Amino acid sequence: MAAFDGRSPIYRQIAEQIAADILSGALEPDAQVMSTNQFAAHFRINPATVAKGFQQLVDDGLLYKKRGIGMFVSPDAPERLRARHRERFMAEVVDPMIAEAHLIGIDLDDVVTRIDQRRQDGHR
Amino acid sequence: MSTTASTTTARRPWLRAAGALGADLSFYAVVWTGVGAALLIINLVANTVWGDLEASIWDGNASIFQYAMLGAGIMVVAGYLPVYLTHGITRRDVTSGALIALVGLAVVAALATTAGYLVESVVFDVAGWPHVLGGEHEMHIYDSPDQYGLIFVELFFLYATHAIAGMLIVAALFRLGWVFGSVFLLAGAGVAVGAELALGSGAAGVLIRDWLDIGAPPVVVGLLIAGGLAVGGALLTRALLAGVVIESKDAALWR
Amino acid sequence: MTLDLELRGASLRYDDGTEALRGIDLSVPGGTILGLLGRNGAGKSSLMSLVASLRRPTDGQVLIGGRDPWEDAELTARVALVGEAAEGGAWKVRDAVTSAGRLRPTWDAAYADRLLDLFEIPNVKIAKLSRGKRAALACLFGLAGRAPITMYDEPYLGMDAPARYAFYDEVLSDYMVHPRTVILSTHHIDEVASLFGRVAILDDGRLVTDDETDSLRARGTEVTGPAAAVDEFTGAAGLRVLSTRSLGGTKAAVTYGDLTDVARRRAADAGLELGPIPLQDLFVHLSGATQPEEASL
Repeated sequence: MAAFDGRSPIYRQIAEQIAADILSGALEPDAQVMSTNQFAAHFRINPATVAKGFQQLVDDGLLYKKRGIGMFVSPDAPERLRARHRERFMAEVVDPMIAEAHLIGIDLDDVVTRIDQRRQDGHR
Repeated sequence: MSTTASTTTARRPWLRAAGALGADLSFYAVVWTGVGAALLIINLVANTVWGDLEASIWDGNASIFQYAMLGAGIMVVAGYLPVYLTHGITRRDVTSGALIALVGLAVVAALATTAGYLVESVVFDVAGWPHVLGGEHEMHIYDSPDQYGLIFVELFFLYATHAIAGMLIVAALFRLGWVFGSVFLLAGAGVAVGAELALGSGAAGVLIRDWLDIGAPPVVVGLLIAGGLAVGGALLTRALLAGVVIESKDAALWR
Repeated sequence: MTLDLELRGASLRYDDGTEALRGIDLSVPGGTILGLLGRNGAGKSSLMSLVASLRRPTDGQVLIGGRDPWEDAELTARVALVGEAAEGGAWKVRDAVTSAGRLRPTWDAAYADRLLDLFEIPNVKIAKLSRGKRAALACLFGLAGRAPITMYDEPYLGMDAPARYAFYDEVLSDYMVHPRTVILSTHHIDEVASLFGRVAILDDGRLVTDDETDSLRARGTEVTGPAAAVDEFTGAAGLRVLSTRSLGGTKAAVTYGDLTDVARRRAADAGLELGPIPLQDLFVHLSGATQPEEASL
């Protein structure tokens, strides 16, 4: 199956994939996304499962429905996603890094210094 | 090419089953017509080249068709019933449809066989051969090959009883298994041979009558007996098939 | 129009005493694509033969649209069972297709023609077809029949991969235009799992699982970490441990059960790793098999 493995719930994988497309710009604000049936046929997935994935995106405010026409990317979807990822970045990247540094005895000041260095090298 | 069934047949599934069986059996009828024609030619050649034509050849030929009808009865239950069930037809409707199709086939076959006597009379007339029934036995309810009405009636009853006997035998084997079902071979044989005895036709009937040294009953009594056997056999078949179970491995959509 | 299917305490005992089904309670709402899973002999074919009214339950009930379908012409006309590959016959393919069309009120002859082309089934005697083409012909009967409840008893096993995928695509695209209940039985599920809206797993005649596919997927978790911590966690979280593997002091447990966010955090704090497991593995454990079954190709 092209993009979806047999592991975590497929509807969640669908939602994540579309979110990734929005974040990368492949799907722009107000762009129409594939219909449930097109998506189901293309990826060989039960339409009810696809609908559940799309519904999650609607609930999250990333997609909006136009009755009788289809689903579109919300104008503020990229911003919402970036905000969501910013939150996650601290929890999923920075916090574990601090824990790891503590575990192996790296002073947090050294970490900050390193970050400053990299910033001066042009990493922004 | 078939299209979606009409609303009439959608409401009457037994009619749909009968129609489908009739169409499916037409191939079988064509094969037996060919067999009949081939036998006729062989007999004709044998009788004119190596002997003198003294009587109807078709009369001897025609007796094979009741066994073709027995085969049709066997085939309908053994071959078509499981397939029709998986196509969503009920046992009751397959049975009704099969009885309608087989009785219809018996009418057509009896008409065709009767027409054989008619054609033979024309040919014999032209050739100057005597068109009479041969043999010393009292073989039929008719005593001359030009009594077309009686010929048709006898043949129809023979064909119908043999087809029903075929259905009955397989229905019993399907429903009761090989051990108990085999007992019904006798019932099936009873319907077929009983009709032959009653009508005075067919090899088995003639042999048994000779052995017991009995004559044929009056025509009306013979027809009543044959008719009773047909109805009894049909009811028994219907009862046996009402609860028949099909193994899902037999339910392959086409066998 | 779709039809609900329900089995209530349905049991089936064969004449030789074999208990093929033991009190099955299963509800399949109309318009569901159901994966009926189980090892060979688990009772999949028996269950389908009850739904198709080929057999009657020795105990319990089968209800279609709330009614017993046995000898009910209106209901049996709306149920189709496609067996594993049509056996040979003197029939030519087209004659067999025409004959099937005469029997099914919902038959779509034009679709049947398209499928003959799609599956490249030649118009020869069925006995002369390869195993794969016979299987494809069986699938054609199910697809073109358009019965509101259509069951496939593993006909796809004999087909090669491209034909199988073509079949799955047809099941799905036809389902979207003509919604109906589709039941696919298989013990080889990875390639079809995404098609299933629901999954029912049979083991030794019993229904061990009946759930939405995604809920089932979410319920399987592999817990890996120090052996003692794994045991403590699975016990405290009330997870059913389906199998375990150990390497030195590390243990991996395949578990089944709902995990709360609290439990997930507790696992992370205890240094345990939580990972998803493929549906096929979950099925293997739930269906009581010790070894994953190999696809018979």
